[in-house]
Amino acid sequence: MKPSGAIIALIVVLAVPMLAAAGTAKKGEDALRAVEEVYAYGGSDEEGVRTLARTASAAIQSGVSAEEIEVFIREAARTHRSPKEVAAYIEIASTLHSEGVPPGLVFDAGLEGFARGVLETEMRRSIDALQSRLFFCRTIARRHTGRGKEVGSAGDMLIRALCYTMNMGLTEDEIAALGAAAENSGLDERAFFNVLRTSMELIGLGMDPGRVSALMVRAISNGVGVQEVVGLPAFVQAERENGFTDDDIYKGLLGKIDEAAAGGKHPSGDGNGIGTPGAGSAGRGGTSGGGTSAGGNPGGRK
Amino acid sequence: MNKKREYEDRELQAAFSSLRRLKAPERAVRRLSERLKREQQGHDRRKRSAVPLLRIRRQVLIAVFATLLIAVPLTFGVTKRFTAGKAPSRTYVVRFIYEDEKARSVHLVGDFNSWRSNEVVLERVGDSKLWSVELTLEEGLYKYGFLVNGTYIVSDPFSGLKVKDSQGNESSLMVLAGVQGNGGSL
Repeated sequence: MKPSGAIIALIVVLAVPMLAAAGTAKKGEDALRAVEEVYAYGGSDEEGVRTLARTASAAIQSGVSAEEIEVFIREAARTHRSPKEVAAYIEIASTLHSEGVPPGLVFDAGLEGFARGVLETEMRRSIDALQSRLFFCRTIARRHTGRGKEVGSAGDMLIRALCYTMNMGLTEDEIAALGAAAENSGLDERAFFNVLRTSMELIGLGMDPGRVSALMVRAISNGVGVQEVVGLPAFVQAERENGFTDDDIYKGLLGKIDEAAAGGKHPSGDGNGIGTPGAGSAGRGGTSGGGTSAGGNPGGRK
Repeated sequence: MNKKREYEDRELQAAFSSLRRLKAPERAVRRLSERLKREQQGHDRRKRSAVPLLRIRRQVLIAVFATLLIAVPLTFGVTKRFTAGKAPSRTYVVRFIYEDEKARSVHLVGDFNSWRSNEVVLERVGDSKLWSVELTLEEGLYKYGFLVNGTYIVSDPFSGLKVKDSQGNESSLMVLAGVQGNGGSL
């Protein structure tokens, strides 16, 4: 081997294990910090704390965020939850993570349950159900993220949107139909997210989830534009204020969708800025960001 | 003395020339010449590599030193700062408003603050029955509620998006995301 080749080989041989060790050292540090958090638990359930420490450490080593685990354990300790219970939730989060599902929803659900003082039996049932739902949502989301196993940050939002849309009343079949329509139309994850957001807003306005699902499938299949779709909730609100019934509104929506698909008049018909994010929520007052797209002023990119 | 030596050499030569010359075996001659050749080559090689070897050692030392200089700080310090985190996302300024004349305290709890009860306090707006706080939040979907008097959590009455858990507890849902694209297909 030439001398220059030997030097390059030496650099690689020395540097690669060092950098690998650096990564492992950091993970080890994170695991240690989480375990310290665990031992701050106190109490007499030593076996439970040991189980929790093992589970937290394993979860961090497998890639779950150490920060999220620390926060989770700290809040659990503050609200006097049993270490074994907390370990069970962390294990679920770890399983989800290994299957390509961001575990944040499980942690959020757990933290909310801690804050509300939900009983352990109820919470376990609820989080088990959430786990099944998340696997289903991941299957739907994967068709739009184009990444195979991993779901990125935009995919995380898509999975959350799927999950909450189901929580608000859409069934698995309806979600699957929406997903299939979106896939056939070649929607990317952001576009599909917009569809789900609009679905949630329409349901929030009191529309029947089944009808909303049918509307959205029709809109997607007919290639309706994104601005037209996100403007539908404002149209519904305006029609309600004009005294129309839900049936009338539904027929009106179908008509608008068909019009938009045919490249006809703007669905709003009144040029009040439908399609501008948050325009529909401005009339509600109160929380400007609540429940809809950001009604507040975008703070710009970080 | 010299003359004596020369005389002795001449005598020696005469004596040798009278001796019968024996022919050396071929194999022995071949082995001897190969051995001589090898010794000569080894000598040449040592002579050739002496100077570059010193040069390589210096380069190797520099390479090792440079590697340690880069790898050691990465191992023990800089790694944390350079660990890949979330991609930067858009932020939104959101104002939360709660209406309750009789409340003594109102806190905002939600996914964005791990549902911690004492972090975000709403301030009463003058003498009105309104409580308000403004937050800057990253793009995302968040469940939230108002913790009233430190005892119970209610959903946002001004928000149309509500989700319930399996126990029937209702939270509000906030969607902070821009709308991508200008017309065209979804």
